[in-house]
Amino acid sequence: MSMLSLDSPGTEVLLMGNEAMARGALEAGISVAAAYPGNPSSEIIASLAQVAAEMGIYAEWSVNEKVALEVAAAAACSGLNALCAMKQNGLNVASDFLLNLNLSGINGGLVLIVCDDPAGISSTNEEDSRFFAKAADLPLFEPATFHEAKDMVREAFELSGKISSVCIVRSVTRISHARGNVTLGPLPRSRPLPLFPTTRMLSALPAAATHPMAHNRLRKAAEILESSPFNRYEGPENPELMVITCGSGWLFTSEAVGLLGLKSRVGILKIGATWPLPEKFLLEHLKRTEKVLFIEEVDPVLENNVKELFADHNCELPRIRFLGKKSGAAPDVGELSPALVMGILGSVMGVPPTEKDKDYARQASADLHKFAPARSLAFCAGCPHRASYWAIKKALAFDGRDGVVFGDIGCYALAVLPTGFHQAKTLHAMGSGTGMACGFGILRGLGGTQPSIAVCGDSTFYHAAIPALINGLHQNSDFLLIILDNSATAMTGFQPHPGSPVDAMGHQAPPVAIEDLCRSLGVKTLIEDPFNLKAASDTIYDLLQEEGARVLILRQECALVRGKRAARRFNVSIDPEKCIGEECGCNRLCTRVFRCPGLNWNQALKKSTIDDAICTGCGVCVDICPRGAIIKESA
Amino acid sequence: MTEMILCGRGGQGVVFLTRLLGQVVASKGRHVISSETHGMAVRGGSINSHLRIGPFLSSLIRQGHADFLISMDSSETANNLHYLKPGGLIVENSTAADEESIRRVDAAGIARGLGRVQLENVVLMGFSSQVDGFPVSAADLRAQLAKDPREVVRTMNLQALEAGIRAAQGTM
Repeated sequence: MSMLSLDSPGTEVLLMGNEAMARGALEAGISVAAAYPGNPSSEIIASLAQVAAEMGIYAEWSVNEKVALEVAAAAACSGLNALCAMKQNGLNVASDFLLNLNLSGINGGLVLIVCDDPAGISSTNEEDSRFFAKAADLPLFEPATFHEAKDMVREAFELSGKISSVCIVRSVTRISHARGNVTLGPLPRSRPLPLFPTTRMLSALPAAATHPMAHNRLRKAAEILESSPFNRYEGPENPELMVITCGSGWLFTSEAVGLLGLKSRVGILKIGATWPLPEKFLLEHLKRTEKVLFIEEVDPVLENNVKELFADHNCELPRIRFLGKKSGAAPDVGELSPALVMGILGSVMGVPPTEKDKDYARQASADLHKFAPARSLAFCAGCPHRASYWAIKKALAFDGRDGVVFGDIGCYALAVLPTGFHQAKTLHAMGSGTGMACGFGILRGLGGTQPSIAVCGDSTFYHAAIPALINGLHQNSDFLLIILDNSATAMTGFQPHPGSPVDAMGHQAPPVAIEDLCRSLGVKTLIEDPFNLKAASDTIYDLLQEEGARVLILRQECALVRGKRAARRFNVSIDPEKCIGEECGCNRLCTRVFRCPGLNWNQALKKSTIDDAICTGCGVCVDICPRGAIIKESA
Repeated sequence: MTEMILCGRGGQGVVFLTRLLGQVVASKGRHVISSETHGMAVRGGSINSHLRIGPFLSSLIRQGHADFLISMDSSETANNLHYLKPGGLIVENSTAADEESIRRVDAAGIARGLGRVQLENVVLMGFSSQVDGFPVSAADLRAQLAKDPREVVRTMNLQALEAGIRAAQGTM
C-alpha cells in the first residue's frame, strides 16, 4: 500500500521529497494532477497516479508541460484544486501560458511545482526557474526540508485559493530526490464538483486592466505571506554575520553553522516564501547586522531581490556589506553542499578548519587522486538506440556528403557521446532537433550540400517535434526525421505517452500512432526495426537520396521495458576460433566502437567474450563482427 | 549516528538498497535522510547515494565523514573513497581478498549462482549486515524484504540476503 494515501494524521513516515509534495497536494484536497515527466520531478505525478483511483482524483501524463498546465488550469478555473509539476526546462515550455494565466487569475487553487536540477545531474542545463515567479507576479515557495515540502504545497494551495491565482513551489534535486521523515496531516473527506462560472470571463485581455489586477493579487499575497511561519530567524540579537538563505541552502547553512560552532556569532534568516519578499520581516532583521551572506542554489535570485529592497530603504538601514554570488564569496554555478558552505562560512568568519577536519581533508584529497577515469554515460545492453545510431552512422558513411544529425532530448541524447558514436551534432531542448533539421534542410536553396537529419524519440515527437515537422513540410525543406520509437518515455521511468495503450492511472487509452499522424500530413513515412541493421541502414541511405520532408520510424521496444516482461530472443556467444582478437583488422570493433556492455574484451585471451549476465540477447552485435565470430541461436 | 555512501554503476540496484535501508531505519523510529541519483545520470554512469542516520539536516555527506562505503563496483569505490572517514570501512562487491578496512564479497558470483546476477545488491546487503557496527541488522532487513507482495521477488531477495549473510559468516 502506498504511504501517500495513508489516512493516519500524526504518523511519521519516510517519504521522498517528491512524494512529500504529492502528499501535500492530497492534504490540500486536489482533484486533478497533470505533468510531463522530467527528472527531478517525475515521482510527483507518478505517485499520485498510483493512488488516483483510491483517492478519487484524476492524474495524467500530458503531452507536454504547456498542455499539463492548461489541463490543471481548466480544473482550477472550475473551482477545483489542481496540481501541475515539471522540471526546470518544462517551465520554459509552459511559460507562454503561465504568463497569461497570471493575468486572468483562476476560480480554484492551482499550484505549480517546478523541480530545478542544480549542476544538471539529470538535465542538459541548470536553469534557475525562480525568475518566472517574478516575471509572472506569482507567489513563490521554496521548501527546505521534506516535511516543509509537504506543508508548503498545502499552504500554497490555501494561498492560491485566497488570491485566485497560481502559486509556484520550487524544489531542487536534493529535496525532490532525497528521503526523510514526514508527519502526515489529515486528508480531506470531500471535494467540490467542477463548475465553471460562465458569469465571469477568465481572459488575459485587456492587459491594461488585467496586469494591475495581477499586481493586486501579488500585494494581497505579500500581506498574507508577511507572517508566514516558513520565514524565520535563528541566531543572536546582533549577529556578526547574517546568512539569508532559502530552500536547500538553509539545510547546508544550518549544518555548517552548527559544525563550525558559530551559532553565537552567525544568524540564519530563512525565507520560505521568497516572492513576494516579506519586506517588513526582512527590514526588521537587516537593521541588526552589518554583514550579510546569501546562500542559495543556483542564481542570485533572493540575493538580488533583497539588495533591491535594501536599496529602496537604504536611508533607514545601517551600512551593510553584502556577500554572495555577486561578491564571489559563493559559487554562481552548480550545486551547494554542507562542505562547500562550511568553506564559505569558515573563510568569511575567519574560522580555520579543526585539526580533525584538516586530517579528513588531507585524506579526502589523497583519495581524490585515486579517482577512476570518469565513467561515460552509455546506452544499456541491448538498447535499440545503439543499433539505430550504428545504422545511421553506416548510412551517412555510404552517402558520403557529410550529413548532419540534429539531436534531441531523451536517452538517445547520449549520441553526443561515444556510446552513440558521436553521431548527434547538436543537443538543446525538447523537439529542437527537428526544428533545426528543418531549418538546415532549407539551406539547400542557399547552396548547402550536406544532408539534414533529425533524431527524435517517440515521447519527444508528441511533445514538441510535430509543429517542426509540419513547418518543414510546408516550407519544402529537405530533411529526414528519424523517430526512435522505443514505446516509452524511457529516460524518466517509462511513463506512458499518447502512443501508449494505457494512461497514467493504468486505464486503457486510445493510442495515437506516430505513422498515422505523419502519413495524415502526407509525409512519406517508413518503418524499420533497428535490430535489422542492414535493412535499417539501407532504408536510411535510400531516404537520404530523396527530397522534401521524410520520416523513418525505427521501432524497437526499450530493452529495460522488454526485459521486465519477455525472455531473451537469442543466446549470443563468440566462437573463440573465429575471433582472432588483435590479429584481426577490425581493431576490436565490437568492444572499442560498438561498446555494448554485454561485450567484454578478455585481456588474458586477447579475444572478445560475451558477459552472459549483462547480454539481453538482442543479437545486433552478430551483424557488426566482420569475421562473423559472434553467433546467435534462438533462445 | 551513521553516515554511509552506497555506490555502483547505473542499474546495479544502488537506489533499491538506499530505500531498503531507509525504510528499515525509519520503521525503527530513527531519523534518517537519504539522497539518490535518478534519470539520465543512471544510464551506465557512476551513481552514489548518501544515507545519514541521526539528527542530520541535509542529505549530503561531507567528504571524509562516511562511516561506511558500500560499493557494488570496485572502480566506483575509488570514485567515492574521498567520502570515507579515517578508520571508516569499505564493503565491496569484488572477487579480490580482504584488506585492512576493506571487506570484500563476490556478490555478483553468488547472485549468478542463485540464477540472477541482478540480486548482487541484496547479497552485498546481507554480507554488510554482518559487519561490526553496521547500523541495520539482518533480522530487520529480512523483515523488510518479506513485506514485498510479489512472491517471486520476495523469495529471491530473501534467498540473496541469506546467501550474503552466509558468505560473511564463512569468512569470520
